[in-house]
Amino acid sequence: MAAPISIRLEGSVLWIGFNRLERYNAYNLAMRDALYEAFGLAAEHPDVGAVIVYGEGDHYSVGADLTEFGTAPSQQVARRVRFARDVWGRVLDCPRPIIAALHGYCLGSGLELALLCDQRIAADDAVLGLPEINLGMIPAAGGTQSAPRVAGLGHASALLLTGERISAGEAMRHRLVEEVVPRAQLRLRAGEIAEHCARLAPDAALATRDALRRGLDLPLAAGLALERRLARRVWE
Amino acid sequence: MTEPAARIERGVLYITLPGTPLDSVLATALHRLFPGPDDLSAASVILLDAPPHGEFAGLGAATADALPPGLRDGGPDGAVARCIEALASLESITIASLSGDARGCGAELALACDLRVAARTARLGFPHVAYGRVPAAGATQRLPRLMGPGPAFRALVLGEEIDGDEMVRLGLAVRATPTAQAAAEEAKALAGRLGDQSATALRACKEAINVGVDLSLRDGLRLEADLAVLLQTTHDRAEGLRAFLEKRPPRFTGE
Repeated sequence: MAAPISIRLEGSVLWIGFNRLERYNAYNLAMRDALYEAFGLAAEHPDVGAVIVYGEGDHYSVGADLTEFGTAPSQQVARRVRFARDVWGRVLDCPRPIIAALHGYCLGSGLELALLCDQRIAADDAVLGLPEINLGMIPAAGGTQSAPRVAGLGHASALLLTGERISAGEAMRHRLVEEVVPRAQLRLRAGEIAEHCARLAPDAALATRDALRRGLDLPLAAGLALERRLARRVWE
Repeated sequence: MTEPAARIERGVLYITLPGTPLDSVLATALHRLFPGPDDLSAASVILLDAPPHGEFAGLGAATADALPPGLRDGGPDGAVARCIEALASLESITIASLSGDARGCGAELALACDLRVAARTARLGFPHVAYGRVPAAGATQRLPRLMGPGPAFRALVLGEEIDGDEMVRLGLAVRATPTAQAAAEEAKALAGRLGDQSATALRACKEAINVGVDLSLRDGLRLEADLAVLLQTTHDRAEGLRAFLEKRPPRFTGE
């Protein structure tokens, strides 16, 4: 069986690609384990300056592989494994900037992973959606938390509660992605941004990202104190 | 018609407002129509609309020495604030159909809903400050969370009104339609679609979103994971999966 993700280091950029072409890069257990390892590598390998998450083939990812649903022996086990192999936590903890490059179908947990990244670049053929509600479920890879933080409560409520798909242009207008480029230029553009990130002074870039991200969860006065604390480390 | 009218159809509670300003009398009547917290058969979706060729709930006529009716009763301890807080606390998914304008207390009512559909010409306005008052039914907290603090300042402090297209751009409305009639129809269609979804999943999704925004990201992720695992035990989720794999529409029961 082919590896569920492809992974390669180009210069200082680590490219992590979903690679289950026969299933439109549906996210399954093997892929979860491979991503868990890959983001461990991204955090620890000294040559990695930035990370790109993308999809091999015609689509980024259609989300969870539903044929594996219900295969966990019990809800208790499912919950324990969710936190033992916490890919999403690893993405959030990754000390390098992460760029998501989106094209084709970008649905469910695939899109949720992108919403936890620092930047989202979409090709003009991208179709985004969190369709879980149509299946009697809710997102389980952070979507109910990341979407409001990225796009605001208004746009996020529409995406999550209606389960409707939107185009790349709409996604940009709704603040879910930061940039839309022609399909042929997606990897080039994602690579440019990642290389730019990799050239930055790492402690300054990380402190800035941490202040942005963690500050969102704090009252303004506490966020300003956090900024001063993080800045002091870099300035001294 | 001066009273709100209500009917339930396929899991959706349709409440039609009279199109008059939201004052204490209307707020009290509206409040009575909301399902109570113990009403397990409550509608999973609630649509608030008004007759399509008038206002949703506007200001009404101002006189020289009194506030207009759509602002007059909007203080922090009145029936309007209680009604709007009750609406915001419902477990049902709530939708406002803005075929016409919503101003003052009416605009705060629309903001307390989860989703809005608007006619392109419909306007949302908060003239409180122009009348020397402060919004007291949630607008200063809900508006920046919905669309960010910069645009919220313009709407709440400068009193700039927001039309349907702008509502879509800012994330306040799911869709803007060319006509008032189309907004009413679009909102009904959306309510119907949501009414066919799993009531349990909708409730959990609303809880994850609205409770989660007040938590740290980490705590929010745990809340979502717990709700998602809880939902793995429902008939609706099994039906949703089965229907997807059999390529047919699901038939949810809320169990």
